[in-house]
Amino acid sequence: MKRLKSEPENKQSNTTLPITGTKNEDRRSIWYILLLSLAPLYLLAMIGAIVLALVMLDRHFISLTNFLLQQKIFILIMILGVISAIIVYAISVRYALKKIEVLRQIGHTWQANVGLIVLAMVASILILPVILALFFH
Amino acid sequence: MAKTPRSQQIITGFLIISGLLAFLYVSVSITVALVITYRPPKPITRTPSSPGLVYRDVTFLSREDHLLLRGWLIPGILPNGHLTVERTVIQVHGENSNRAMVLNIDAALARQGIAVLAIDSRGNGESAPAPSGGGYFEQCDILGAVDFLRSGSLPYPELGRPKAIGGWGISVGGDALIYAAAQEPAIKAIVVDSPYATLGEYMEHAFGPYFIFIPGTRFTSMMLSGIDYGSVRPVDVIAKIAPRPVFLIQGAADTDVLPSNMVELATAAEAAPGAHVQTWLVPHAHHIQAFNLVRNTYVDRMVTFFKTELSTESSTAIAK
Repeated sequence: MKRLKSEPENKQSNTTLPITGTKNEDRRSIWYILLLSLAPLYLLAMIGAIVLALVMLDRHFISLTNFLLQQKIFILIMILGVISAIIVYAISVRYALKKIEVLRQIGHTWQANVGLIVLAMVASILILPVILALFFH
Repeated sequence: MAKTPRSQQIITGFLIISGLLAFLYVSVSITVALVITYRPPKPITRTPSSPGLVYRDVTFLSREDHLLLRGWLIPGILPNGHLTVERTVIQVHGENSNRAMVLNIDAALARQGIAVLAIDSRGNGESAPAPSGGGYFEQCDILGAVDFLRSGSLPYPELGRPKAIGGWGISVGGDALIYAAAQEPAIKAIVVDSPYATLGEYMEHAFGPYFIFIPGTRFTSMMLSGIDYGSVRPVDVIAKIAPRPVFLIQGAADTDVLPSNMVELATAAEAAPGAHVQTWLVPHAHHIQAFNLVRNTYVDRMVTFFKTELSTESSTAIAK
């Protein structure tokens, strides 16, 4: 059903978006695809920064004499941080892959390939700390 | 409609696997860090009255961060039956334990005329909940105990103040004692049983095949408690204790803290001019089991050490 629905949309896209655009359009589309494919990474970085900031605030405003409360808040921040990171990562990767698929279907093959390469880099960067931990621990 | 190319399928799989591994790594690291940093304290089930000793409950504050700590002051018993606190030993238990850990040895020391201040270090027993510092934060607890003995409100005012203070630390308590003695000259002599030389190496040994989680655990612990466990290195400060004497005890069959730790610590301690270091490798003893395996010899050696090194004749009164 989905495939049948998406066909007219794609046809429409074909009519509105030229397969071979001007240089400006190419440049715009490359920025777009970079922004899209790097989204999982910078969104995770943003969540990481927020989590770090919240933990610092937790430690700053709740004194050591109230450590149990400090720890409970820390656990809450960590749980929420991990869950939101998983959700954001899943959604952003799925969205990027969908867009890459659409680009490929409308004939923007090289942009789609760039998107895929960037996504592969994102996956590598994500796994890099785990691999580094094997050698530097 | 064009079929999804193989490259896209591979990259999708790569994204899923790397995401799963990364989140698994983070989750495990957080969990391990939480367990290492703080565990619910073990309840105290015995008191010094169990082995027939007189004692008083004491409370005092840790030095610098002012956490409320609890302990027992057990006066030494002189041959004529009188009580004394002239020589007082601060007893520091190991990880996830409490001041009742070695009550039998405390009793043996007290019966030999050596008073014992058995303390619950932070996050343990009845002391205030706080993150474990692998011995680093806990040094403030020992320093707080020294302050208490020197200027606090002692529960036996008629006995006066201690003239010589020593320390006896077990496992991570030994590391805390090394740190404390390195900066507090009022601690005249220490006995440390099974301390590690560096927490980083101890973690590597303890994590074993799961060593990959060490960096993540260290980072998370640093976020939670503000300490990098890799920087806890008693081996770097033990030389500062000289010329005050250090007695290192280690079980030869210890698989938690390997006997090589004692060698490392002893070598570092002996490097200082005027160092006075004794070592005792107890055959067949596992981690912090020497006092159970060879109790009488253990007590005899400790009593001889403290009676010699905490000689109240040579010590100047420290209560000022």
